Parts: sequence; C-alpha cells; structure tokens
Amino acid sequence: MEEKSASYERVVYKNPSEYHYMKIHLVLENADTSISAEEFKYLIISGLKDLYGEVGAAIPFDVLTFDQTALSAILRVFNSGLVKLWSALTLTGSYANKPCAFRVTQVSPFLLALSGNSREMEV
Amino acid sequence: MERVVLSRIPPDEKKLVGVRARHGKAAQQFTQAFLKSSIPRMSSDAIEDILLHRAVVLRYTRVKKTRGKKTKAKGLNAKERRELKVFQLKPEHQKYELFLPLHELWKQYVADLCNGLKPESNPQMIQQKLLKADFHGAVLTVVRSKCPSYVGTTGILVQELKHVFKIITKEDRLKTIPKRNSVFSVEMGDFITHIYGSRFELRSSERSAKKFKVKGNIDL
Amino acid sequence: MSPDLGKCSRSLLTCEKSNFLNEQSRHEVHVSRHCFNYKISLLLPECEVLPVRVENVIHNFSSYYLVRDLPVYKFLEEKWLATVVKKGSFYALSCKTRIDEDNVCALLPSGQLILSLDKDTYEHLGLEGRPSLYSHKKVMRYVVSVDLTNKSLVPGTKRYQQVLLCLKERVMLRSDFLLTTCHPGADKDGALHNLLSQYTYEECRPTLHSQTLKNLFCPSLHHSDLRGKGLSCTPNQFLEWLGAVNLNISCDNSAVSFLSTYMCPEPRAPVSQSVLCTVTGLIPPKDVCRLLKELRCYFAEPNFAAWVSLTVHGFVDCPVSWGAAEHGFFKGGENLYNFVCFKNQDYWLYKATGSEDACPP
Repeated sequence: MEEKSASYERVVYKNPSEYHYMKIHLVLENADTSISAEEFKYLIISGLKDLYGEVGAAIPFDVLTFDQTALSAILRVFNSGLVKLWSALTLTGSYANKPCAFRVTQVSPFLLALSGNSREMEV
Repeated sequence: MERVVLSRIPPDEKKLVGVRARHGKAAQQFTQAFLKSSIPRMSSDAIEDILLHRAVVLRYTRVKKTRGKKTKAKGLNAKERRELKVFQLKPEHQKYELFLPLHELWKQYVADLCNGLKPESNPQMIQQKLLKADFHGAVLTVVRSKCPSYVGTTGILVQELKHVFKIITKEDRLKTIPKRNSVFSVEMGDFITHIYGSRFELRSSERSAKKFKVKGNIDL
Repeated sequence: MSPDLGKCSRSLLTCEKSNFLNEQSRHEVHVSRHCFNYKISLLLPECEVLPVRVENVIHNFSSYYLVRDLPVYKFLEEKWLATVVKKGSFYALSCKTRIDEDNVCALLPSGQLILSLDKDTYEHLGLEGRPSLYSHKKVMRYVVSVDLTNKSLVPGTKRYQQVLLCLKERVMLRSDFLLTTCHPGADKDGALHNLLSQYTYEECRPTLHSQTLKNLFCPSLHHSDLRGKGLSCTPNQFLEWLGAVNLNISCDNSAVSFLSTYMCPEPRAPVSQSVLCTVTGLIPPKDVCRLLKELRCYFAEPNFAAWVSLTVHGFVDCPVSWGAAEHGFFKGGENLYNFVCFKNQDYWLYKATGSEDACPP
C-alpha cells in the first residue's frame, strides 16, 4: 500500500442524504400492552393507508430499531415520504380500538445525529 | 325713440326711399290693419300686448350687498404655524423642571377624574376613564418597542400629536417617540397602566370621541 | 397530493481530506471553533479494550459546572469579567432551554455574549440586535450579541451601565447554565467556586461509556477515496453506518425483510471486535484536540485497524455552531463533525449541519 500523503480535497454536499430518520415512541393508554416490531410497523402502515390510501400504504420505510419495553423506534424513510409518514403518525389515534399516540422525538437527515441529542441530557 | 318714429320723414328722403308717409291717425289705422291681416289668428288685444315695449335694462348692474367679512379670529394657517414654530418648544424652555408643575396638575386632574384613585377602585372603570383622558403632563415610559433604543425612555409628556408623543426627559432632552409599535406605561400613584401605542394613533381631541374596541390584537 | 409534500428542508455535509502532518491542515482550527460539544463518540475497530492512554486523556477532561437559575447579568459583573471572562477559555451555555421556543444564552471563549431571544423578550429588553437569519416574513426571533471584551463595555462606561440595566432590571434573563473553563488546574484558587457559591451548583464529570462490539461488519475505507468511488463507501453511507453502530441498529438484514432493509455498505469486512466509547457532558474544544492528538499516536503501536473514527456532536440548542455562525433548530438542530484518522496520518473530516445553519467552514 502506498503511503503517499493525500493532497487536500474538499467537497460540499447539499441534501446529501436520500433518507430522513425519525426517532418516535408510541404512547398507549394501557402501558402493559405488549406489541411486537411487526405489529408496530403494521400500525404505522395502516395509519398511512387511512390517510393516503393504497398509494400511501406503499411508501417504503424501515423500522431500524424497536424497543419493546419503551415502545420507541427509529424509522428510516425516503425524503419524499417524510411528510406523509410524519402526518400519518400524527393522525394515528388508535391501536386495537384503544386510543394511542405517536410522539416524534427527533427527526434528522443524519442517522448519526440521532445518537447525540443534547435535549436528552439529564442534568 | 317714439319721437323719432313719429317724426315726419323729410321730403327729399321720402323721394329717395320711395315710401309714402302717413301720419297720425292714418298711420295708426294702417298699422292695425296691416297687423291684423298679417297675423289673423291673434286678437287685437294680444297684438297690442306684443307691441307694448318694455324697458330692458342693459349696462347696468345692481350694487351687490357687501356682506360684512366675517370677523373670525384671525388664526394662522398650517403653513404660517409651521413657519412661526408655534407648537415647537423653544430650546430654552426644554427644561424638565418647567414641566413639573404640569405633572402635578395632571396628577390632580387624574385623581379628580377617577374619583380619588383609591386602591379599591375598579381598574376597568379607571381605564375607561383614562381612554378619554388627557395625558399631557403624565410621566410616560416606553416599556416595549420594536425599536430597542426607545425602550426605557421616560419623561413628562409635553405634546401629543396624531402619531407621536413628545416627552421631555429628566436630562432636559425633548424626545419624539412614535406611537406605533411601542407600548407606554403611565404611572399614577399606585396604578400603572399601559398604552398600546399602535391603538392610540389619534389626536387627543379625537380620542375623547372615539369608541375603542374591547378586544383586539395587542401584538406589536 | 401536493407535490410540496415530497420536499424536505436542506441539510449540508462538507467532507475534507487532508493530512495531520500537513502544515496547512486546519483540523485544530475546525475543532476549536466548534465551541459547545455535547457528546464524543469514538469507534476503534480491531480493538479489544479502550487503550489506556486514550482512557487517561478522557479521564483528564475538564469538569463542568451545572449552575441553577443563574441570572445572565452576572457575567457582566466586575468580578466575573476579571476572573473568568477576560481570561478566555470560558464557556457557558444555558441548558434546558430550547432555541426554537425559549431564550437561549451562550458565552463564547472570545468574550462574546450571544442571546437568542424570542420576539417578546427582545422588545422588552431594549438591547440592539438583529433578526435571526432563519426567520420568515414575520420575525419571531432576534439575536443580540454583546462583546464583553470590548473597550466600551468596561465597568463604569455608559454602554456598560445600559447593558447591565437591560439585563438586570428590564428583563431579568435567568436560566440554568453549564459552565466550563478548560485550563487544566486553572481553577486552583477557586475563583469560579467563589463566584458560584451563592447559587446552587454542582461539579460534573463527563460520563464515559465504553462497550466492545463483537463480529461487526465494518466498511473498508481507503484514505485516498474520500468520495466513495469504489475503494470506499460514499461519505453519506459511512455516516449512516456510524449512526447505526452508535444506535445499536442491526446491519445484517435481508433485502426482503419486512421490518428493515438496512445493510452495511460495500465494500466491507468483518471485524471480530471493536470498541465503541462515548463521552457526554460539556466538552471544551481543547479536550477534543487532546483526544485527537492521542488518536494519532494510536497507530504508532502495531494494530490491525485501518482507521479510527471520532465523532463530536454539538448541542442542538446552542445559538452558534462553528465560530459565531448562527445556529437554529428546524427539525433537529444537528451540528456534528467526524474525523476518520488513517494509519498514514491522513484524515477525513465530515461536518454536517441541518437546515437552520450556515455552511460549515
């Protein structure tokens, strides 16, 4: 491997990421309800379907992590689908006929930024 | 005129024009007969009426009654007022102490207006009174403004115009502060009231007649 | 559906490639201009435990102080000016205040006091400021910046009296503050303790958290290929992967998985164990610099790692990002940078900001 030191180079990307990442959590009336990751994703998809129909339900997004105890998750969605996903989350109001609500904690085009949110600082 | 008409035509002119002149009764009869045959529809009385000559006055006008010029108090117009600087405080009069008596007077006036300004009096009633009150002599403070440099200015109100307050500060400076986009506080004994300048853009004389709306946007 | 639904606010990412040994390298400048750092995250591939020397550096990080309910005008008092502000290297940031809804205050080491105020407070305060760069038709936020080291702000001057009056009498701005002075042992005489004694305060240490990750797929990076033209993955993919590692996101999904299709970017190589270490607190730039220096020495000892990564997150509610550039919060106030250091002392520097931020330097 050549050990030649590199010359200076600088690139600026505008809107570098094709994805947005959302940290959300689900608030249920009955805290004991257990919900699996698949059910969680299905709940979001049905929310999309209610608001935007079949086309909305087809918006691709990933559930990157899901914490079953805290009911929190990190979603990844294409930039074009962010507003639709977000609005669907806001308007989702019931899970299994019980009231529920999604809280969006953080949204960022960088997944890395989700790991360092100073608003979570405990002092 | 008549005389000229009735005068006899001189014989040489008679020859020249070629008319036969009639005089006196003959002429009158002829004329009547002529008219009758020319205007057969009219009665002789009506014809007589037409022939009556009336005096038409030309070249003469009646002297107009000169209405005595209203002896209104000879005021100045706006231009003259501007030029004479009637409403501008002379620099040598821009002294805070000079206006302290005015402030005392104003305090009395407000106390009278609000029946003594007792602590138990209803603030809403007082505010209603103050809306119509005169503020000349009050101590105004700018408590909030879109322009930060006005904030904190305080002094005695010496002149209120439609869009500005002119106040004199303790440092003997005359400051002109626009009413718009500022909130002023007025202190009267234990009461402090706020004037939202944007809602107050009236002359003080007009304000006494104005009906203020109870609700309204108080944002600057 | 409205086509606007597909639009997103802009974000920026700058990538730089240079060498630590290069005289013109500005890595220290970039680090020192990013004043308020909330979290450092260190990823060392092919490493079993955090090297002792790195750990020592982290243990020597300066403490920071959490002061409750400190009025802002205190910074202007003679004692404060003389003991902390004028000496420089003093950092203060209001905490638990959100820059999109509250008043935020920061004191930079240069002696600049920056207040990011909502419209109502600004109108009451009476200090000259400018509208926020990221305001819309109706300005709802103003930024007031006061240079405390300026000659006109010497105690006794008219301007000084005016600023003090504004902050003390007109609007008593107060909030919880995070403070730090980054000279090691600068506070021997306890001057800061003296100043803080009339308030409830506590001295905090940056919290270190370290874990070993086993059997991780790591993207292979080649120091010459910054843009990701085959030898490395693209900068964005790399940052995404770093985030995934930090957030403990599984990277081995299949493309047909119902839940997630995220996979480690190509080219990649399995790494049996790597160390992920995070430090949280108010970390002054000088400490980041020292850590970076230590990381450069890390390659002096024989090891298998091709690169190490150092990520620094700024406070999302800080009124400045780099230098005195205004920082705002729209969807998330991200302002972070990341060093990837290579064996031959080459480094890549990524700087990312969100929508209400100037382009990083």
